[in-house]
Amino acid sequence: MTHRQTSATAALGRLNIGKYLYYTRAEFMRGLRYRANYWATLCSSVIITIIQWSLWRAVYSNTHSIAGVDLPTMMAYVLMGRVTAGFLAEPANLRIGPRVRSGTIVHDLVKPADLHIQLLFQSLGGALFRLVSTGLPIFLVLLITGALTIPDPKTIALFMVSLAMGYVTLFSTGFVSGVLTFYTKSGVGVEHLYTLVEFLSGLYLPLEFFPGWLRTVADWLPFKAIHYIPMAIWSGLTGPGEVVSSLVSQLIWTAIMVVLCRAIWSGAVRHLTIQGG
Amino acid sequence: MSDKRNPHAESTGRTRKNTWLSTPRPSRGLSTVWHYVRLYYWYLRANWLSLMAYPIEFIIVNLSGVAYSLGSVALVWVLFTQVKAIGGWTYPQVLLIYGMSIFSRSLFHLFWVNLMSLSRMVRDGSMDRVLVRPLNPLFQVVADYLDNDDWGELATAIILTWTSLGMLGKRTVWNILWVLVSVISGSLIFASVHIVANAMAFFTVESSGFSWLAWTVDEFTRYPADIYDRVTRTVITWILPVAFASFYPAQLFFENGYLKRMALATPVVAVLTFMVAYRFWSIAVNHYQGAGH
Amino acid sequence: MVTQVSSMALGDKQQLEADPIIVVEELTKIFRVRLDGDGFRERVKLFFKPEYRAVTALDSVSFTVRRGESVGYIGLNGAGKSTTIKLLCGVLVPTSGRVTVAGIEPHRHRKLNARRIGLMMGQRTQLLWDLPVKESFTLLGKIYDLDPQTYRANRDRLVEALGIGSLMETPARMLSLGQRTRCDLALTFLHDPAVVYLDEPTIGLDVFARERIREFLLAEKAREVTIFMASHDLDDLEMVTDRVLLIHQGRILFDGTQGELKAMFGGQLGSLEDTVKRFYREEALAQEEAQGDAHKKARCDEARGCEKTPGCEEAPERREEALR
Repeated sequence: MTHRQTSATAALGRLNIGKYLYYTRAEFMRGLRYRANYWATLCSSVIITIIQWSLWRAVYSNTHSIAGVDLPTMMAYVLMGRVTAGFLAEPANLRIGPRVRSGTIVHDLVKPADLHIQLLFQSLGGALFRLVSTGLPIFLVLLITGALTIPDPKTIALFMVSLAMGYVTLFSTGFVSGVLTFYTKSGVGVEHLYTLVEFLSGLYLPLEFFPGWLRTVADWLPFKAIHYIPMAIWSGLTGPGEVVSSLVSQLIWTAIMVVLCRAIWSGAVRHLTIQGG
Repeated sequence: MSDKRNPHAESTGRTRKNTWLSTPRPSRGLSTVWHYVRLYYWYLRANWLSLMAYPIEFIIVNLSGVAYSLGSVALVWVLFTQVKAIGGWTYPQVLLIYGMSIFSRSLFHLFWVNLMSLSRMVRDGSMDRVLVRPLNPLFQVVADYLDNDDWGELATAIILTWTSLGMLGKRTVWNILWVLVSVISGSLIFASVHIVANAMAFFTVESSGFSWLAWTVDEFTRYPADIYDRVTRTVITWILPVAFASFYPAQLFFENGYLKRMALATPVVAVLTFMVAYRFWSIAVNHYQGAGH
Repeated sequence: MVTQVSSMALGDKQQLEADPIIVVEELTKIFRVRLDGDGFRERVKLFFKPEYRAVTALDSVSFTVRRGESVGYIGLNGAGKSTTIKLLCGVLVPTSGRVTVAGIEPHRHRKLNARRIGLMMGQRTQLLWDLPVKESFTLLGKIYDLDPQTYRANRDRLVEALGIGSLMETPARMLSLGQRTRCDLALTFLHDPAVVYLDEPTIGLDVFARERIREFLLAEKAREVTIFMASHDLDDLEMVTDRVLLIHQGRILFDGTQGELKAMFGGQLGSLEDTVKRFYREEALAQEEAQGDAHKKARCDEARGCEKTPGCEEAPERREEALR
């Protein structure tokens, strides 16, 4: 076996999940410390949900279908997007830049843990906390008021799988942009780019609404794997026949992002250990 | 006695030209206002000089800012490639409301954004420095830094408003003046909301959520207020009157506009809201001085 | 300028020297701190129903400072030094007790008090970071509403006294710590305050820089400015101050002249830790003695179920039995 292959297998062997889950738990508990922030964030999410719901109701007030999408489907897409917004919102890029700048990244590299994987699990803790503390209440209220309905169990299961993949893709994107931020030495431009990423991921509008050329661009970028695909599955936007192919394409994009992420990380580590902090 | 008329306080000599108490106090009323206006100029000047220390960054940041705001309009534009009207309002009308909303918002952002540093200032002790100066604390916090990477949004707002007014055929001098009055009032209303939200920093260390909440409340104003349900509409008209930042003043330009009398109340609402916000701010500062953090 | 100092009528000067300018009476400050849970269940509980504990930062502190005096304020980290200074500046409001500076309560008349005091914090700078030092002077002059002559006179005097003339055009971020500290001091004294509070002014400075700062402070002292300096550096105190206040865990353990403090260490100032330890030990001993009697009494009562008599005049044997 080549050097690369042996180290890959060794890495997999070292992947002691239990150790990393500790970080997940710690980050989840961190959310419990901040009460005031929680209520404020909950209010913010509620407000955005109200705005989205009202807006789409008004948009559809005169028509039954726009770009081939009807109101119930659109609503499901948008509202489920709101429910999972906390889960699929990732400040991972904020962790890398400051660490490198302040030099604390040295401590992380010395530890017997893979920083990349560690951050993945750590962020997961925060994401889960937001999902449970903010997403869940909103979900329940939407169910009770009838604004959201539960689809069949098969769709739910496929949605969960898709959501998990969406998270991994999101994390990888954030991670990559975080490392890039360090190399470009400025945080501000990247922030604005991120809004573009969000737009292309279908966070504001489903891809069906994009004009032809934009749709093509979005289809050939990994970002739709973050948001569009899971929400499309849940809302039924993806027809029953297309779900599988949709998931497969999501899997491919996720894998690509993970590999890219890993490559950039290894490069960064080499750069840091050779050049110094 | 904690009384200004304490003879002991008086005898510490303002009558003579003592070196250590020679600073004259500005008397109440108009001369105080003038004092603050003049000071604001000096703060602005200091900010401008700081800015010019990094000219390239200024340009880059603002260029990307323009791209960003144009992008946010894209949402509305894309929508309107698919539908003719939203909730009874046509494309130019929705565009005008959107434009005025971000016009108010960018004016607020430009002058008042340093409110967001409040949390940091409390944490690192800069707030103490503010309280040791013979100036209104809110003034100091706000004047200390002007946001200089949001000219993009302002530019977009002006373009949008100008365009949509043209589309409606309402580009007259009076209308433009009204737009200016409205967006200035609107920015004052936004400022009030953010003052209250950021003043939470005086009560708790974790106030970033409230700051974000204030920005979220601003989002209501991007779209016509009557798309919202009754409860929401009441809240954004009477409790957090952000609807006066875009929707109500814009009614004056629409033939099918209603509640035009509400529109005229806009500046009054702005002033009243600010007064309420300032009261909350004062309470918050007093609490900080008691609790200390 | 010499002429300006003596423009104070001589009669006033003598009266002023005897005047107490800072009066602190039974000053107490208690903070409420939120509790942090341990373990998942506790944290969830505290999430919905938070609990607090009270932290006493200052406990019935009393002292008086006369005009023109120079006072050193020593204590370990967390002893209550910063809290005291914040209370004196009007930043914080006392929980109980009273503080008066030049006849007014600082927190009640914040702006008026602000004109009369200067505050310098060693670790934080007043300078505008990206701008040349002179801009900080200009802005501060406008903030304190100094008329142009006074402003220029004060500024020039301070610039010369601290030797920062060559730094005026330099942006603050390019200054060394020593240079920054000197500029900060100049800004602090710019508006001719009657009282100046210094919180660790020489922290992080090298020996020469410290000398220079001390000399400057002595010169200001000669101009009848009241100086209140919190410091970890006992040499600072030796050179600049007449009087020393030692605070520990919110209470004043020593209030006296440097001479008296030195005497306790056989003529030399010991380290800050030794000083504090020594006083703390004595304080603890004194407390023990006061409590000791009460303790013995309580146990005696418990054991015998007897009436509480002051001093417990029971027979010695019964007492001993109870104490076993």
